[in-house]
Amino acid sequence: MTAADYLNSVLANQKFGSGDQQLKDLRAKRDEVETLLRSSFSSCTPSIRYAGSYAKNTMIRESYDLDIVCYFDHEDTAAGSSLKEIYENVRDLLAAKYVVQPKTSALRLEEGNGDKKYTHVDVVPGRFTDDSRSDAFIFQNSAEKNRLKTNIDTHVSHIRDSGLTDAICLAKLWRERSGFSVKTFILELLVVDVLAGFKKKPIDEQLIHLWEVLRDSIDSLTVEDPANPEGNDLSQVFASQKPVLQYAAETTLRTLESSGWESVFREENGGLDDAERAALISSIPQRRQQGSRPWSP
Amino acid sequence: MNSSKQQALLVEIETQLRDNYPSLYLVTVGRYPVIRGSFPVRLDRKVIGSFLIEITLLRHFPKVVPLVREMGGRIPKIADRHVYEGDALCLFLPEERAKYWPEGSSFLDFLTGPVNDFFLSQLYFERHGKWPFGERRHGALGIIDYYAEELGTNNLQVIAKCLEYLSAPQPKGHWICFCGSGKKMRHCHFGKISELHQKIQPAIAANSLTYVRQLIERQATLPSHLMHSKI
Repeated sequence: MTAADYLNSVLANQKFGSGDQQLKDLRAKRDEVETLLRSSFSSCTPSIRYAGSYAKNTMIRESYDLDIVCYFDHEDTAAGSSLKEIYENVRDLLAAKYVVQPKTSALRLEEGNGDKKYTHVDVVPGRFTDDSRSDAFIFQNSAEKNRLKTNIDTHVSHIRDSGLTDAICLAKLWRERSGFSVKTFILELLVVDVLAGFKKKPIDEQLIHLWEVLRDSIDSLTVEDPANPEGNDLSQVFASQKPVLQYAAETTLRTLESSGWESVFREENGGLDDAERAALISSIPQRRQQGSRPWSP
Repeated sequence: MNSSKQQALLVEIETQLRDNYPSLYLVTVGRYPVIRGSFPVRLDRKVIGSFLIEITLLRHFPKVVPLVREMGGRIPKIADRHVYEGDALCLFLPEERAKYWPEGSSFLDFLTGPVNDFFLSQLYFERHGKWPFGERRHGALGIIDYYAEELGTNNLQVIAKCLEYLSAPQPKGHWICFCGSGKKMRHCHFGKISELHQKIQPAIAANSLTYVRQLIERQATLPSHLMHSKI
């Protein structure tokens, strides 16, 4: 088996098939959320659409969310007169049915009481900037600027049509299996930028090139929000994540050199999906009666 | 440790890594051997998460516990997540080394024991906001909890005296007992001090004594029952 064959098999294990139960559950959940939003805002017609990895065709089993945007027309005040009001009204509406965890711009939906069950659904409320229903403003909770201009179509097409979705999926899996934390959007933009001239290369060469650039030249890289290059400054976020990316790339290349691709992507479990892993983590106290107790000086 | 012994130890560690943790590798950074890479967290042989780590084998390794750092930006660098200055992880109270990684154990035992336990705890905490195996309280309070369990008292003066004796190279039977009975230790708690001395290095006890003395100074107004109770 060549390296590319191995990586393609890893990738195949991560892709959702159209008949997958998890995907059916996600779509059913989206329908449920959409019905709730439309019935509650019946006097207007919000645009409710898939965004994120589902729309970009970069969803992986190991870690996935379903992002749904809910945008109101720019002069529509039925859901609120300000972005903050829209965010809060949508939040309160969803809170009647779900446990809502407010994120920076998204509302994460959980179900049940006590040991909460994550639905994998995030709702992002916003308002179109004009009648063209293209650019939108979204509210930013706990951010420097509380209004951010964005464009779902631009984001989605930048990634989905990049010709690099397989490399993006494997880069996301690399992050999960290596155990580091870097924003998905940053990782996607880096892959598209760094591999722009490598689209025709085999997938293993693409990944090695990505890691070599991250290890050797990360200081010369910049990332730019394609939907809002002037207004959404990603430089600080990226700067804070450079040391992690550089370390991850360096250690990955060393592991690859000494132990091969199987040690980088570690399919030893056949890959647990997100739900299986969550269940195992929750069972730690039952499965392990004792363990070392951490301390701090 | 002489260099040939150290070399043999490093070869043994490399073999253990290759056979059990192929996503970790050994390099030398400056004066110290360092293990780097992705650490798979296992529960019943299944990998349920990973953390990007760096482990530094300090000068007196394996007498001194290696320094473990999380490099992937997943764990906030705060005491409440058991990360302290220099981003080092606090796997366990130094006094509890004999319980979790006794001297003479292998480096592999260190990885499969307290390192794996620490990251299991972090994975659980990420989802549930609590520690599956419990935690020791920060600073002097965690030390006092430990000695209170061992000695059966939380009297700070008793604990401080016990630590003073444990800091010595060899506690003597003719010393007046740390418990406050006024008897010689050989007629009182010599068995207990010997048992603790077997488990706890004098340098560790001396360090804990500093914490406890600082606490005593800060809490000069402690309720009297904490200051004068006996074992």
